Amino acid sequence: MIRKRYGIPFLCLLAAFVLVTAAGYAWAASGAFAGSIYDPGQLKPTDSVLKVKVGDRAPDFDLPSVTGERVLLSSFAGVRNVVISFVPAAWTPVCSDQWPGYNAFKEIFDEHNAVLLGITVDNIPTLFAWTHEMNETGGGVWFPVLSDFWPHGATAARYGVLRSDGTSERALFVIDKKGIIRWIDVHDINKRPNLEDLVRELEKLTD
Amino acid sequence: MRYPFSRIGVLAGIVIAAALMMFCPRPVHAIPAVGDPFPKITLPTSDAKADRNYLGIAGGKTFTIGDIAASVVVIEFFSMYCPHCQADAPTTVALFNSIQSDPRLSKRVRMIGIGVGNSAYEVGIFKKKYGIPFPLFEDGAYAAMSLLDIRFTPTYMTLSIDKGKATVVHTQVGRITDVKSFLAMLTSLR
Repeated sequence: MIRKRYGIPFLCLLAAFVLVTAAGYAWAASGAFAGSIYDPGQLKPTDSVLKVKVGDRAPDFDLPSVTGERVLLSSFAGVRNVVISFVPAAWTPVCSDQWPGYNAFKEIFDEHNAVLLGITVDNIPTLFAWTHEMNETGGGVWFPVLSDFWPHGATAARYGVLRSDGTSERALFVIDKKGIIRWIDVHDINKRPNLEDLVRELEKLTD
Repeated sequence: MRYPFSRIGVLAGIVIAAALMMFCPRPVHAIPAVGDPFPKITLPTSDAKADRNYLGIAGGKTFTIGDIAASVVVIEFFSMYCPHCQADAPTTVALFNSIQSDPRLSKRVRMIGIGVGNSAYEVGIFKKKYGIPFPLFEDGAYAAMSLLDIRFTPTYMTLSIDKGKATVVHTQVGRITDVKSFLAMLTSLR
């Protein structure tokens, strides 16, 4: 008797409160575009042990790219300096990732006779879609985008930048024309490396 | 006709729901609304004399938006890394030029850019590549973004300045698609 008289209206109003609050959370979380991008939160800054050091020959690899071609690291020996940019995963918000910046400033790499290779552990279709979002005029990015998906993370693992959850570190390697590693930056995965640090290291390369 | 439910039950429900709504924390979308004061963000005084003259900032190492000698300030929150900002760069140049060629707007309106999470070097190469004619400032520490809950770049925030106090009068998230309507908005501000 009592339950019906007092309980039902009380529960109805409580339900209304819950719905209003949930709507508030949903509205706050939506933002512009924020609702469709997964936020992993703060991650452990690094979670791997490097297997190479400055002065070592860079481990060779042969990986597929989003254009369908395969890229062999050693093919650049004697021809170009190489910058390898490992990033953790596709579909991190494009407005905050490194590659759209490198994409807009190709001249920095050209000035230092360097090619940029972007690598993640994602598969090709994922990388294709993501990098095509980085260019408002379409056509993806100017640099080769390589998939270290299968065997999963094998190249990242050989360099010692595969994290325990299967993503790679946010890491930069500068390799000279002799194929020797000249600089390594295994960066805090939560932060974006400043471009001037990479430029400084490229300027140290003599040709 | 008698209602099937007790009035006390309804009243209790209303009171308890209201109390819960008041005291339970709800996330607040912190981007300032029109009419809100703009937080006191400190920016480094530019080395470039042309920038200092444009903004009317005389000396001192730092300044706040309220110090700018203008009635209206348009801030573009951008990032060198953001493809949308790269694409909108020519539009911001066009907007600046339109303001400068309008006798009334050129006296009242100033534009600046804040590079969210960008270093001074990164802001500098963006300015150089796109020929940005208005002052750009680095915000490597993401101070502006956290204070203002900027989630998307570009975000254009227009402020009115009155006796050193800055108030938000317009916010646009995303690219400027129509310079004319943005100018109309600026012209309509008293």
